Formats: sequence, structure tokens, C-alpha cells
Amino acid sequence: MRLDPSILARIQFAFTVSFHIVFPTMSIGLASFLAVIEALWLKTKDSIYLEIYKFWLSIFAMGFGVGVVTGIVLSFEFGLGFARFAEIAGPAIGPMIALEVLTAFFLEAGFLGIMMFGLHRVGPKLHFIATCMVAVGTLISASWILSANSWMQTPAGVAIHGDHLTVLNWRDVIVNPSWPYRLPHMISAAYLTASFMVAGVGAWYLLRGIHQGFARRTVALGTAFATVLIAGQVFIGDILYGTMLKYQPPKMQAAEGFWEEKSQSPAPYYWFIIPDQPNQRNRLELGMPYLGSIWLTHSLRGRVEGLKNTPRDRQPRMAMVFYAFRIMYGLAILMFGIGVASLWLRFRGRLFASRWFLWTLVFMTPSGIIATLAGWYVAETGRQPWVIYGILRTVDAVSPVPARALLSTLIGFICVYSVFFSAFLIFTLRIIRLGPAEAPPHAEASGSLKNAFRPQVLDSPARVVSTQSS
Amino acid sequence: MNSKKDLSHFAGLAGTTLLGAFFFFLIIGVFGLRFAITGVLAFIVGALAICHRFPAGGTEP
Repeated sequence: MRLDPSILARIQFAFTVSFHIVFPTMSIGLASFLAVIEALWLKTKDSIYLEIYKFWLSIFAMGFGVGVVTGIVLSFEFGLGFARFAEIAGPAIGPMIALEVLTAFFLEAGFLGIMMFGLHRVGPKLHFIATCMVAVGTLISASWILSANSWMQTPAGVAIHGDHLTVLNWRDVIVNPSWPYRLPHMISAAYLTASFMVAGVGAWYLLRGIHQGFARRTVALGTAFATVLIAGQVFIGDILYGTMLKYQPPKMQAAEGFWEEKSQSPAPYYWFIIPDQPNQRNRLELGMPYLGSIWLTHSLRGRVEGLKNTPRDRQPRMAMVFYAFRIMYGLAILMFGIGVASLWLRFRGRLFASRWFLWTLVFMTPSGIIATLAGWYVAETGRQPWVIYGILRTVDAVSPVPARALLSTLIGFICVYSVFFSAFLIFTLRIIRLGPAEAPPHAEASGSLKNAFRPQVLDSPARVVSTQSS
Repeated sequence: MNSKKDLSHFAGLAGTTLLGAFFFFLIIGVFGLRFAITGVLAFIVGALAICHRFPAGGTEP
């Protein structure tokens, strides 16, 4: 069997980046969640918030660690698997990746130590600043990475001279046409991920009848955050849809499952298709009448443009884009429904009493991660056959390396990442099984810089408690 | 008595579902961008008001 290096390079990058994105998504969401929780603790002095903070801090820290390690691999892969891409796109992408490390990663890494180990050393207020810095760092990081990726989706601010690319306007490169919509979409997705994780774990404790105080507070907070966020997410998603329809029509044509240049009127909304790409038709299609016209054209009888509007050699694979989009959108609808249901149950005073709702929350715990992954699959597979849309095709971006080398490193990545993933899952499940520890009544330092360097705050909880009691 | 309670529960559930579906269509821009912005703001303000007015309480599962 002959192995195609371009396919192997793509599979390898798809595998490593899919694995990686799970962890930053959790980190971005949990970092801001922790900042909110610590602010609530400082404001109310309610120890349950400290308990919530400590519990989720351990999971956040593990996710952050795996995210950093798997993220470093990606920058090497640009050069190893996609050398032509690195050579051509380097002048635009390179500085953004470097700035991500300088402005975001250093900020996060610098304050992470204080966030994890500094509560008794620097006092609550300085510790809160450290948590906020880590949260801000994750947002800046997301901003640079989204800018780089969005530039690949909607390149701007550059000129092509033969095999070379010159940046003409950095502002246009960074604030490229899709970035202002993709950034809030991703950040909102990360916040939703954290909200459903937090609510899901709380719901599990409620169903088992343990850690009631912790569970009630996290379910209440998680569902409230999720309800507010999902409304914004659906709105931003719709705006992004319109933007991508303008800049990358083939992606959205593939996402809707229509082939003909103009669909029938009224257009159905397909939930299931078996596409036949070589013959440019669907073998089977199941959809809801009228819904396609209503959703996609905002009219009762509007027609939807199909993939035949794009030349065959520039078409993405419909099946991947269609199903990734359906998974993302289906989960968004489910999240919206859960948000509305949580409001109804809250109104009736049955948010913690309704078992079907709590079980739904438990099953929805990983929903944010799955939806985010599906969204990235839409973005990346829908951009094919281009790696930089309209400028460089993926097959032309691959390094001239033997297929054997790519296959062996791919197997290596799968083995090493399986260990990472298993370790992360085992430790996370262990933390969840153990439950939140009782928060000790400590850390009452003033939070001033002066106190931060005093020896008495560099102390154990017991000593702080004894100082207070005396 | 029980069937009356069930009926009111079902009516509440159906009303909530319809209201949720209406807001969803509103937010995704079916009625235009201006209505979508109004819809998303109304939903968020409404959700915050309910969360504030009815801080989660109630019986155990």
C-alpha cells in the first residue's frame, strides 16, 4: 500500500491539534470561572466559594499543563510537517505566534504559581489579582491564536510576490475580516464548556446526595452562566455564519448539505444526509420542510445555494463539514433548551429537585468540549483544499518528508497522547470522586504588597488560624 | 386534583418550550438583525432577572 505524505501530515496535525484544543478550551473557561468565584469569595466571605475555587483549581492546573505541552508540539509541526506553509506564511503567522508566547503565555505562567500555591503567602487580594492575570493571559493567548488562524481563513494585509509573502499592513493581518467574530465565538465556547462542566459535576453530587452545599452552588452558578452565555453564543454564531458565507461560500454550502446551485423552494433543513461527492448529489437526505428557508434565508420560501456553485477542485468534503456543523449546532440547540429549562425550574423552585434535569446536566458535562471540537472541524475541514484560503493549497504546503517518517511519528503521538489523556482522565475523575475538601478558615491577610513579603503570611493555615484566634 | 395539576404543569412546560423556540428563532436573526439584537438582550436581561429574583432553592432530588 502506498502512503500519501500529504494525507499523513494532515492526519497528524488534525490529531495533535484536536487533542490540544480540548485543554485550552477548558483553561480559558475555568480561569475566568475561578476569577469570578474568587471575587465572590472575597465579597461574601462565604467559605463555600473557596471550596469551589480549590476544587476546580486542581482540574484547571492539570488541563493547563497538558495544554502547554501539547501546544508546543504544534509549533514544531508547522516546520516538520508543513514546511512550505511555514516558509510562505511565516512572515504573517510567525510574529503572532511569538507574540502569543511573549504577551500571554509568560503572563499566565508567571502568575500560575501564585494562583496555585500563593494563597497563604500573598494574601487573598493579591492572590485574586494573580487569578485575574491568569484569566487575562488565557484571553490574550486565545486572541493571538485566533488572529493567526482567522488570517488563514480570511487572509488580508499581505501581498504575494512569487513564492514570498510580504506583510503590507499589520493591522489588517491581525484584525482580519473573520477575527472579530471568531474570537468572541471561541471565548464564549470556552466559557460554556466550563459552565457545563461545573454544572455537570454539581449535578452528579446532587444525584448521589453528597457535598450538597458545594453541589447546589455550582449547579446554580453553572446553569445561570450557561443560560446567559448560550444566548450570546447563538447570536454571535449567526453573525459568524453570515461572515463566512461572504468570505468562504463553499464552507457554508457544504455545511448545509445542498448540491444544486439553487435548492428547491421552500428549502428543507437537513439533519441527515449520505453525500455522494463524486456524483455531486445526496444518496439519502432527511430534513424538515421549510426550516432551511427560514433559518438560512430568513424567509418562508428562500432558496439555498449548493456546493455545485464551487468548482470541484475547490470543494471541501461535504460529509465532514456537514456532520461537524450538525453536531455543533445540535449541541447549541440542546444547550439553549437546557438554559430555558433551568430558568423554568428555577422559577418553580425545583432546580435541584428535578432528577431528569440533573441527569441531563451530567450527560452534558463534556458537551462544550464536543461542540468546540466540532466547530473547529467545520472551520478547518470547510477551508479545504486551502491551508491559506485562496493563497496556498494544503497539498502544496506539506514538507518533502517520507511517508514512513510521518507514519511513525503519528503512531508515536497517538501513544504518548493516549498516556496524557488517560492520566488526565484518571486524575480528574479521582478529584471528582474525592469531592471538594472542607475549606479551612484561613487566608485572612490584607492582600497588600507589604504583607505579601512578611514572614507570617508565608505560613501554614494552622498558624494563620491561631494568629486570628489570639 | 392531580390531573388539574398535571395539566397546569404541561401547559407551563409547553409555554416555556414555545417561548424558548421563539427566542431562539429571534436570536438567530429570522426576523432581522435589529430584532435579533433586541431578542438576545431581552433574553439575557430576563435570564439575569430570573436568576436574581429566584436564587436556586427547593427540595432535594
